[in-house]
Amino acid sequence: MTRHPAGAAVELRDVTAGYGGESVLRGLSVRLERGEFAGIVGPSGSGKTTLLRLLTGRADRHQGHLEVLGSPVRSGRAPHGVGYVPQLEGVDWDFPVTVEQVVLLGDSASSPPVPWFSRAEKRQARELLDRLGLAGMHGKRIRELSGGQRQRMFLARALLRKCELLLLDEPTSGVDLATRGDVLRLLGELHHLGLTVLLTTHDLNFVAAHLPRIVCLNGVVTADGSPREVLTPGALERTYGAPMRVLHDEDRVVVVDADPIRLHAGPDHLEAPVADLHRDAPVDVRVDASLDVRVDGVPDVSADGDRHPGDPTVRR
Amino acid sequence: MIELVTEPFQYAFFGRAMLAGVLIGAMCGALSVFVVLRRMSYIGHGLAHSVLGGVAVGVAFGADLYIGAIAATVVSALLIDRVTRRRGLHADAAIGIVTTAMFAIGVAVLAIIPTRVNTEALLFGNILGVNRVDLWVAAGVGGAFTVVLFTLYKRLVFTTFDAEVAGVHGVRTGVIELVFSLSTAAVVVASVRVLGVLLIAAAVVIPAAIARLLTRSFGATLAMATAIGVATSVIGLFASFHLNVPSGPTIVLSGALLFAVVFVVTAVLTRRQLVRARRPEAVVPADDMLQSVRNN
Repeated sequence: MTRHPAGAAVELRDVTAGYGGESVLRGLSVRLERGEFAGIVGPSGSGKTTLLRLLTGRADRHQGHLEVLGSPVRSGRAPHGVGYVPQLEGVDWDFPVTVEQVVLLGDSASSPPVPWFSRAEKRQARELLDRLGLAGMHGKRIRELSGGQRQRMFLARALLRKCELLLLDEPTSGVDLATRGDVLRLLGELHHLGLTVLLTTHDLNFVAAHLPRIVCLNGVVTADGSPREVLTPGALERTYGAPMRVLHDEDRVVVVDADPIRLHAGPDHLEAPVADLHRDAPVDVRVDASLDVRVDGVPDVSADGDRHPGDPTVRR
Repeated sequence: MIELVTEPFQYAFFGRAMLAGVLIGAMCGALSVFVVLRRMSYIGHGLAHSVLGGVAVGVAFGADLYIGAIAATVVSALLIDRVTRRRGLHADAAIGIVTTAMFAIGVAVLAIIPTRVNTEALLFGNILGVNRVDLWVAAGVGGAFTVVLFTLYKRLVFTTFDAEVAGVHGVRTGVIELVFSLSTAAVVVASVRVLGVLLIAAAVVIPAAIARLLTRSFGATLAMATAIGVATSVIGLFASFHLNVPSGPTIVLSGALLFAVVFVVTAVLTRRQLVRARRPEAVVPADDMLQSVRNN
C-alpha cells in the first residue's frame, strides 16, 4: 500500500463560486485529504462540473478560501499537479489526431517550442499507453477507440503531466457496465499508487458500491461521508428534490425510485387508443417481411372519437 | 501548350502576383486547418469584410491602404475576442456584429467621401495591382505566421482540440486565442490584394476541407492544406491571366472544383470499400431471418 503525503489535496472553506457574477456554488466547505477517493453526486445543474472547473481555475471564486495541493487557486491559472479527464460527450472525435498525439499534447505547455515531440517524450507516452492497456494503439485515430479505450487515453494524457490529484468529469457516462468496471479498476490501481481521485457521476449505485466517500451537491453540500452515512432518503431528497428508497444489503446500499412507474409490455393492458395521444400527427408503424420499418402518415383514425378494431391502446 | 505557362511571365506584374499568390496560398492553406477545426469558417469572411471599412476610412484620411486594413482587422479581431469572452456571446454572433458594422462604415465612407479606391479590385482581387509593397507585406506576414506556427504548434493544436483541458494542462489559452486571432487578421490583410474582400473566406476554408478528406493525422492535414492552398493559387492566377477574370474568383473556383472532384472520388472509393467489406458475408434472406426470430 502506498503511503500518501499528509495534508489536504483539496480544501474549500465557505466558497461561493460560479461564472461572471452568477453564483452556482454557495458556501461550500469540503476537505479532501491526499490519497482519498471520493465521488460527487447531484442532479443536473447542481454544480458538479463547476466544482471541478473551480478546482482547475476555470470558474470564478466570489468568496471563501480555496486551496489545491497546498496552494491557493486563482481564476484563469491552473494549479500544478492536477490531471483532468473531461466528459467524452464534448470531444470532437473526428479531429485528425492519433491516440499518441492526444497523450503527448498533455505535455505541450512544458515541451520545447518546436512542432515535434522528442523520442523520449514519445517513449514516455507509449509506456503510459502500455500500462493503461492500450499497447499497440498509439497510431490509431481517436474515433476508432471504444468508450473505455477513450477514457484510458485521456487518463494517459492526464498522467503524462505527473499529477497528484486526478479529477474526472462523468467517467461512467456513456460506457457499458463492463467498461465501467474496467475504468474503476484502473482508477483503483492509480489510487493505490498514490493518486488522490475525485470524480463526478450521476450513477448513485456506482458510487454506493465502490467509493469510500460521497459528496452530495445541489448548489450547496447537502451530505458528505461514507455511502451508508450519506445515502439516506432524507439526504437524497434534499439533494435531488424527489423521494428515493434506500435498500440495505449485507455490505451494500442500493438506491431505487420511491414510486416506480410500472409500464406494461402487451396490448392486453392498454385502455385508450394510442391515436388519442397523437391526434395532431397520427402515424402507422409497420414492420414488413423484409424487416424494413415503415412509418406512414395515416388519416386521423380516432377523429370520430370511436375505437376501431385493431387500434392499439394505452393505460391511462 | 507550354506557352500557356510561360507567356504570363513575360509581364513583370504576373511574376509579382505569382510570388504573392504562392505566399498567400500557403498561409491561407495552413490557417484553414485551424479555422475549420475550430468551426470558425465565418471568421475569414467577417475579418475580410471589416477590411473594407478600414481601407475606406484610411484612404479617405490620406493613409496607405494597408494602414487602414491592419487597423480595422486588428480592432475587429480584438473586439470579437473581448465580446465573446466577456459577455458569453457565441463567436458567430460577435463576428456578425463587429465585422458587418465595419463593412457598413466602409460602404458609407466610400459613398460620402470621394476616393480613388478601386472598389472592384478591393472586392474581388486584381493581379495587375500587386506591387512591391504587397510582396513585402505578404512575405512579412508569411514569416511571422511561420514563426507562430513553428513555436506554438503544440499549444495551438491542444487549444483547438480541447481548450478547457489545455488550460488545465498549463497552456495559456487566452494568449493562444489572441495570437490566433491576430494571425488570422494579418493573413486576411495580406490576402486582400490578390483574393479580394469577398472571396478570402473561401480561401481559409477550402484547403482544409479537401485535406481532411484525404489525410489522417494533424500534421499531414496541415501539410496537405498548405500545398492545396499554393496549388489553387497558382492555377487560379494562370486562369485569371488567360480568361481576363479577377484573380479572387479564379483562385476560389479552382479550390471549389478540386473539392468537388476529391469529394466525389473519395465518396465512390469509400462506397466500394464498404461493398467489398460486406461481400464475404452471406446475406441472409429476410424470410429466413423472420423464421429464425420466430423459432427463438
